[in-house]
Amino acid sequence: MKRTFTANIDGQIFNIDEDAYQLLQTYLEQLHQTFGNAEGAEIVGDIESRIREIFAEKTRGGASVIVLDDVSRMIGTMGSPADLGEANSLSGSVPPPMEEVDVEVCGAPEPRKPQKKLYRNMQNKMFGGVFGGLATYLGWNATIMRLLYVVLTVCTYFWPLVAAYLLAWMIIPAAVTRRQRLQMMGRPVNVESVGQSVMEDSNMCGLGDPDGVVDGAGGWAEAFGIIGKIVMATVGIIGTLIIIGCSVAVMVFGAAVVAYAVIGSGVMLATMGMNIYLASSVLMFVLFGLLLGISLVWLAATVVFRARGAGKALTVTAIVLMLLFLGGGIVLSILGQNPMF
Amino acid sequence: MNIENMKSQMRKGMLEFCVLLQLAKGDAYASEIITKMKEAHLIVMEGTLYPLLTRLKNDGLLCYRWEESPSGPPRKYYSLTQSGREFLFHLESSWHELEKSVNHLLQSHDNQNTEIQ
Repeated sequence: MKRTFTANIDGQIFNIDEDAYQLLQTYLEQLHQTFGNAEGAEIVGDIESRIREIFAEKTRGGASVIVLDDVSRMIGTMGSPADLGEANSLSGSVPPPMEEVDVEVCGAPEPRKPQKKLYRNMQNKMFGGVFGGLATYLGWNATIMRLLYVVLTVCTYFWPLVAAYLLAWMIIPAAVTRRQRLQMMGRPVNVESVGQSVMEDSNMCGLGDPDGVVDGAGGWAEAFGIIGKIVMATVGIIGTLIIIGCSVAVMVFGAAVVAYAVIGSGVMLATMGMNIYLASSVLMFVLFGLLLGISLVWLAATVVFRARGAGKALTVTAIVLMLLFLGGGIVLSILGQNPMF
Repeated sequence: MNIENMKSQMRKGMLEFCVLLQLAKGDAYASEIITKMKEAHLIVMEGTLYPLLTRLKNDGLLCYRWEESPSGPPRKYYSLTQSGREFLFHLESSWHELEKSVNHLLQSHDNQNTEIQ
């Protein structure tokens, strides 16, 4: 059993199998890349209308759905993007410059190696897939990297490397689509490799997610492993503690600052051994801390309880606040030692 | 030098000429041209034709119009422009020259071969 899509190809509606659809989409995308922009749109449009003819013949023959084999055969008839690109440059109106020809003849026939791209590996992940992705990118072992990271994190008093991980998690995109997964592995993204990866997935008997979407409708929570959830629960507890601590601090420092500003009484400040400037900056700092605590708890809740509505924006907020908090802490600790205050 | 590569280059060089020849006989849409070119064993991959048609059109040798088709959406019918006809005329004469020179060499080559045998 397969899912099917409805595709509008040059004005005609076709039912098309999911894997066939993916292959067709990759094929058309690659044709776009092969032929460039201005002319390309027209050429691909023409090719699409030919594809419609080929498929229409198929459906007229009684087939009710376009399957993977039909698309593969169509690509065989039309030619792969690599072949077409070569043909296009050979018969182009501008002859290639002589040097280029010389280089090609003299140089060793070295096949161009597709570039690996760094993605978060959603198939090999404990938390967000950062190390799975890094390991795939560098060709190392993910488990060893993770262990090393844990050791280093403990050695550096947690915060710097935890922040680094969260930053990496934000910045590095997840390998969600088939194209991205192929790029991550350093396999060329072309019709052959996509076709092959479609086959591999179907051979896995549904172990792989069929449409290659991990971060899909199931939401954010699915993107985390079990360990990720435990870590997030801890984050939530830390967030709660931060909220409690900061609330108390906000009340105390707020009261002191308000007392000084409104009544002109410096008694509270004096008992705390502070002047108004330092007290105000501490107040700002704990306010940030309060926000940080709230966003941490919220973030943890979205993951642990699968609540909806959180996403990248919240993560960004939490991390920005965390950095402010850390920065503020450093500034305050320097100011606190300064005899001027 | 790869023989297949050489062969396909020779064929590609001829392809534009042959497409123009075909269109000189009458207007046609892409699939018709493809069928003819395939009959003549001039193309293997259908996709090669589309960039070629677009290029010829952008160079002003071809123009196209949309025409209703009995089945499916309208088709793009290509036809030769005036400059396309002139271009084809030049190509034809140069083809005849080329044919003559190649045949000349080919004949002496063939004679040599029969002598050896």
